This record gives sequence, C-alpha cells and structure tokens, in this order.
Amino acid sequence: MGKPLLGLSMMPETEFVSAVLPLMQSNSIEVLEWSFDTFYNTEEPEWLSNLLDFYAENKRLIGHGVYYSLFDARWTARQEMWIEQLKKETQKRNYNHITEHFGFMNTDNFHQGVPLPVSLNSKTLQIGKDRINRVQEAVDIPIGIENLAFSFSINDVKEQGEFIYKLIEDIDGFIILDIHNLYCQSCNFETDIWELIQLYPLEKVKEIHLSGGSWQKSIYGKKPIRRDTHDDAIPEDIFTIIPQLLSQCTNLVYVIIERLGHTITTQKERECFLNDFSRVKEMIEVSGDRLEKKRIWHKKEINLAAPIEDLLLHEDQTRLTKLLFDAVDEAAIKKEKFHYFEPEKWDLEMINTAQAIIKKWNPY
Amino acid sequence: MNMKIPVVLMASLLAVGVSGQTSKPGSKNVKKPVKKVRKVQAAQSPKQDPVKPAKFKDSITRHNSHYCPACGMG
Repeated sequence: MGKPLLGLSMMPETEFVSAVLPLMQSNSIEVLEWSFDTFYNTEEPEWLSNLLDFYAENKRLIGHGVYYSLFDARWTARQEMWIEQLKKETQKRNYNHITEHFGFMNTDNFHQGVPLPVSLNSKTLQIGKDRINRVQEAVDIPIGIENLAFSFSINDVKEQGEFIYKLIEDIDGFIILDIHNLYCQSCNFETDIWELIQLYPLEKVKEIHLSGGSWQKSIYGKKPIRRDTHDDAIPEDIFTIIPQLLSQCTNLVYVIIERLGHTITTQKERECFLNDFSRVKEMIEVSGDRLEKKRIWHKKEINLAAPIEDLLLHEDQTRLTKLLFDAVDEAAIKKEKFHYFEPEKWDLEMINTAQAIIKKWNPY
Repeated sequence: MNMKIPVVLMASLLAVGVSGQTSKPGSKNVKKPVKKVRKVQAAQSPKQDPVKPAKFKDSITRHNSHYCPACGMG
C-alpha cells in the first residue's frame, strides 16, 4: 500500500467551490467524499453531477451517509426509503465505499431528530447490527461507521471504539475516525485525545476526517464546550497528532477534510482553508508508506430476518428527544426514569449542549 | 495517479466559483453569527433551473441546506 489519499468532503455551495478552485486546478484533490443522502429528492446541479461522475469513473469517490439512523429502535419506512435510494445512487455511481454515523435520530417528527448516542448493551448492539446488515445487503461495497462527537457521559465516549468494532465485525466493515469529533470529546470530558484514540482498533481505520469547530459558552461557568461545527480551521492540537495517526493507522486509505460550504467567505478564510489542506498534504507526503498489503474485501453472506425492534427503547428515545426539544431543565432530566437510558450518570453540561444542538437544527 | 479534471468540467467549476466570489462578498475579519435557519442552496450551473424543493416533510430543512448535524455536535 502507498500513502493515504487526501481529499475533501464536497459541498454544493458556490463559496465552497470558489475556495477550492485552486485545489481543483492543480489536481490536488485525490479523492472526493459525497454526502449522497443530503441530496435525496433534490436535483443535483449539472456541474456537481459531472464532478461526482468524474471522480466515480476514476474510482476516487466515497459516499458518506448522514440520515439513516443506525440505532433507531423502530424500523421505519423512512429507513427503507433511504436504503432504496442508496441502491439507486450506488447503481448510478461507482462508490469505493460508504459510511454512516453512530447514533440515533428517532422521533415521530423527524425534524426534531439530531443524532444522539446510545450505550452499549446487547439490545442496542443487536439493533445496530440489524440496521447495518440491511445497508450491506443493499450494496456490494464496504461499509464504515463514524464515531460521534457528542456523548452524555465519559463512559459512552470510552466504549464507542469497542461498540463500533462489534458493529462492523460481521460485515468486515471499517472505522471512519473523525479526529475533530474525538477532539470535542477530549475537550468536553477533559481527557487526553490520544488516550481516546487508543481505545479504537486502529487497524480497522480506513478513513479519517479532519475539520475544525467552535466553542460554546458554558452555562455552568465551567470551561467552554467544544462543538463540531465544521466552520473553522483545523486546530493545532489535531495537527500535532496527525503524524502519529498516519503511522499507527496501518490500513488508512483516505484522509478527508470537512468544511461547511457557506463558512468560507472571506479571503482570509479561503487562505486558511487552503493552508490546512497543504499542511495535511505535506504530512502525508513525509509519512512512511503503508507496510501492510492492501486488504481485499469480500462481501459476506447476509441472511436478513424481520427487522429487530424494541418498543421500550423506542419509548426512551422518543421521550428523551422530546425532553431535550422542550428544553426541560437539565437537572430534571437527570432524575427521569427510563427503561434503558441512565441520565443520572450524564453530565449536566452535555444535556444542555444536546438541547442547544437540537435548538440550532430545529428552529420551530 | 494524478487525475486531471477535464477542461469542460473545469470551465463549469470556474464559472460556479467565480459566481461564489462575486455574489457573496464576505466581511473582512468578522465572523458572521450562526443563523438559526440556513437556506443555502446548491450552486447552479449557468442556465439551469433552480433546485426543486424537497418532496418529503421530513426533509424540509435538510435537503436545501448542506450541513452535517450527524456528527452530533454540529
């Protein structure tokens, strides 16, 4: 194996295209990631469609799902439709692999859904495996799962590596390690980022995401909360660990930089973004070649049974989302009794942050 | 393998990119506050019809704005 390929998460906004033009003109974008489900039911502009087709034809397109909801305790028509559209998308374009996020977005009103974490137990693992098997059954390419930036407690943070490892083992899947997500967890739970990274089976990491974010003021007067808002430069703390990551993730194939399209508007922001890209590129160039041989992936046989559902977990998920959406006092949420969730172990600050995220994405 | 973007495709990207530079000049060194509702539409190729609105109720805020709440901290 050679060195990992460096690319971008493609955004459809004009500001983004404008910012990345120098990279396009110098043919520096070796791989393109496309969040295909953000354009389900929406017509792609011709230039975008042609660009994605070009990367697909050159076997340099990877897909990134956002809205499947891996841990929804009910199997819904929305998820079935997502899979049907995934089939169409992968028939239309040649993706090298696709990825989805850890977490659930379940509510009766999907508008109120933001991805929230689940704890590892036999039921959540069973549901997660069922959902991932359904995706794998629909496509003939590898599937990866990305770590979440948000957790209610440090325990959830620490078990996520093991959880994802268990989720992907039956399908020979891989991990997409979002380093800024880990950076958020590291800041918010005051834990060393490398300590968290080492809780993941790094040999399973095939892709990493790099991005920046922002700080949210703490309502409890503590340190600010780090959020994965994809609207700023990659933090120096992340640059510091990239060489170590490159050497330890021996099966790493793709490095993707993420930035929201509408957040690069000034000349200074454009320069900063391009500078980040160049710095990562240089780090990859001076990193050693992969020693391990490229793994050949074979799709495993999947026998789908009826979708696994758990109505008690569904009740928990729905009620929690409503409590967060209704901005119920954090201390009161901690006292709530659930079937599966254990809010008494949750961090007050993170409950407040979940409410802020929901409010941000659901301004109704 | 160094992929070279075909000339015709590059020309269309340049057209979109230039419109991105001219249509929304950014304020110097001032970070814009995060808006509550983002209605960022995909950049269109010249002479193309506008993006159609999403058909499904659950996608009203999502398909016409490209962001990533799914990392969970967006």
